[in-house]
Amino acid sequence: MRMVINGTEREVRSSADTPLLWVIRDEWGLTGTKYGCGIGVCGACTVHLDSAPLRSCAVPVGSLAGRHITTIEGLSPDGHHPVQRAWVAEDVPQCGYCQSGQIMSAAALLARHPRPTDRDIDAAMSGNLCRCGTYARIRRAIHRAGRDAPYAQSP
Amino acid sequence: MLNRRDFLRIVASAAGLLLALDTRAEGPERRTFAPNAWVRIGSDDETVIIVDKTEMGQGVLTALPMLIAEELDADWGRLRIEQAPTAPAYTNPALGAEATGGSSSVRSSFLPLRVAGATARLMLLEAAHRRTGIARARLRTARGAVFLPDGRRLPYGLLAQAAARLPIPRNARLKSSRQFQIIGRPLPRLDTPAKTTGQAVFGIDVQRPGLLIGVVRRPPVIGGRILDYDDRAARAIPGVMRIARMDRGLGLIATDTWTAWKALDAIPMRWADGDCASLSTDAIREEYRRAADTEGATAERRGDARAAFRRAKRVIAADYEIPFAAHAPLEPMNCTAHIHDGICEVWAPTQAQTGAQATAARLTGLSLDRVAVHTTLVGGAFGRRLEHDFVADAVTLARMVPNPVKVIWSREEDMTHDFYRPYSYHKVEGALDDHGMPVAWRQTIVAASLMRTRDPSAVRNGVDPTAVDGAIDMPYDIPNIEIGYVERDTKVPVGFWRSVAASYTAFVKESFLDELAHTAGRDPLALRRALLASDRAQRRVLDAAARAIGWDRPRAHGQGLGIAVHRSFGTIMAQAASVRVRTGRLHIDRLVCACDCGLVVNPNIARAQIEGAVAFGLQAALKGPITVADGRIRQRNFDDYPLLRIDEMPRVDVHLLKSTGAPQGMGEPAVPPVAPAIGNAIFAASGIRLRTLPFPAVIPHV
Repeated sequence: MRMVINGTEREVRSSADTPLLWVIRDEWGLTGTKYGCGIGVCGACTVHLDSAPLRSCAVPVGSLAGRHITTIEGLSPDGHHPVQRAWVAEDVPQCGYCQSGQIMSAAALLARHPRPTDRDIDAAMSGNLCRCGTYARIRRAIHRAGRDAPYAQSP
Repeated sequence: MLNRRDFLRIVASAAGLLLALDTRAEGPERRTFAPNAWVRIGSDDETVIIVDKTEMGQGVLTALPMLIAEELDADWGRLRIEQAPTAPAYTNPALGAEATGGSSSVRSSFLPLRVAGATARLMLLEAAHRRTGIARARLRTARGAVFLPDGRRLPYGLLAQAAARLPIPRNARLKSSRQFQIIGRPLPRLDTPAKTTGQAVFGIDVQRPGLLIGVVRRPPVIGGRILDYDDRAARAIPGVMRIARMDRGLGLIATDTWTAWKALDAIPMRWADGDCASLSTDAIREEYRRAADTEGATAERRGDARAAFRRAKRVIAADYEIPFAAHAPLEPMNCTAHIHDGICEVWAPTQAQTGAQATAARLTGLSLDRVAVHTTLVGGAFGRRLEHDFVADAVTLARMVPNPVKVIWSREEDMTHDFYRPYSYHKVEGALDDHGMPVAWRQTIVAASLMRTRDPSAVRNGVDPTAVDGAIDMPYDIPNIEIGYVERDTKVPVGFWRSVAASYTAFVKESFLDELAHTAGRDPLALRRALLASDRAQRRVLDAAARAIGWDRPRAHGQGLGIAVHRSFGTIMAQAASVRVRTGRLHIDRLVCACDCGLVVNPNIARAQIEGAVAFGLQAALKGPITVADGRIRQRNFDDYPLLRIDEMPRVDVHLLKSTGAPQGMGEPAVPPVAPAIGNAIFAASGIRLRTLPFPAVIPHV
């Protein structure tokens, strides 16, 4: 089967029951997406399916034939997606392990809600765990990304 | 050391933080100026700073280079940061090994790294003097260059070759703190860009040519071991390479992670459960509760507590209980090993390079100089990665194949085979005099010993200092004190967990002091201030937290304020919480932290450490615990061992008090006061005194 990963169509050689996460990491060598729990409760493996967040550790790749997947490596061509810029401006990461997933969830949130409230952030981000406790900075960075272009200009 | 300097480099550059293998030969042709183990300046004008501590989120890849760059007058924007190899030069004086822990990184590096930078600068200055004939006093240094009186600039790289031939001076003068241009600034972390693009390489991300994946299954029951297994089905799965007993469990090597886990799950295993098959938290609690009534080894004795209790006007007693807790870093245990050409290479997300190296040497039979440990970025550690079990897994499996093997633990394996924060039980009694002032404090601590299995010589007169730290050296001016320690192993593996004993001793000390205050009808802050009359440093921090939370302002209906202060790892940390309890539900409105941690090298990172430690402390105060039943750890993943979520993170205000002292610990000191500050606030709001962690989800009525 084939899928589109970060804009490029690729063949999947792994068996159909393989969780998307391990196809991304082991077969395609994109290690920015992390393993944390394997049961979809920590969010470290978050990618985009089309533009919606998806916990890639809990979805068999066989169910995704022909679908478009975006990983942290494909979020922006140069690492300058507004969410990534905001993450740098607020110096969010500590160990950094969960941050790919945090950024992917935040980007999906901002695509739906260009100026999210704290409540929107709670709802969208409560499935992304951070053991280092960077939550206050994550919140600030999402508000900052919302203030900055291009989301603020969208209708 | 290996002949080749082939160690992992962590390169901070505009492109981000990358890991690359440095196989350049080190020789005269490189014309490198390397006056010590931490600085290297090439004739190409590249300045390399070597970091000998593990980056596990605490910011050492930024903070430690700041110390060198300050004295070197380096160009901060153009540094290359490298992770140190394993070598005696990098022994952490605080730990006696190359290791990262005990909130010691900045503290123990503050002088040596500045001296390293200042020495290098002095030699470059001398080289410039000899080259130009201009008096040393008329030369100055800034941004990676020596400046001549006429403004001409000699980049350090131009002077590197000449400086390398100079004798190393012993008299480099350090800057005074007034001269600091880098130290004290809230500089952004150098590793942030790579951690926002997926480019940062953690242990689990290590790639090597021909890499295979290893997985392990440990005994489900503590102390158990595998009896037999049937691997016929697993062997038929394409991609499975090896299946073998290891230590007490089973290991499997395959071409990829999912195949490996699937195959491992396809192997029926029979286990011998050993003598822990009936072990349970309930039984441990019962044993500890009884042990708390026995005479412990004396950890501290001040005055005559027994006599004081006999004379006291009023005596109160309480039992406190703090559970096992898991480290649960988000990156599970993993390690990569490759045995080739008579050497063993290990790529490890480890806090303990010396121990990792020794483990690999022991398992391979190679001498230490033939084992290279490459330290990767670490996805959270909190003490867990001081252990070597995951290193042993990788080396054991790598011995079975010519390829490099990366061992990845599942979350379930990680959660059920941690070295947990020890469970502890405390019996504590306090005596008040006629004026309601505490005159005696007696406490018996029952807990397992961390040092018994690691370095029994550290256990002196029956007391393991790592079990009673924070209970002894009571800062409060109470004339009669007796602290006893009863060592009880439970067979549950225990280890160093962020802030170690202080994570429970501070809860008992600060909660029970509150109990004494309320018993005496005194304000908890006022009593603390009175008992800290001779400890102005702690009082200043306490006062700052009290001011920030608005202690003197009238409370809103249902609002409760709680305060706690504790010194650990050299840092004084006070925290004050404002909470509401409505229909049994706890709402934390705000937590303020005030601290005196000496001179702050990077306030941006220090604040992040405090915010993060508060989240860590809150998780342990509000969630968990780790429990045991039928010899098994009951919690297996984040669904039954939940971490704090963003919607549960309260507002946290951080006040770094000005201090001229040397830097103190930063990674851990904000953990201990969290639980007592919250618990004291819950009491103020509800009248309920909670003496067991974690606090219940629903707070019972009076």
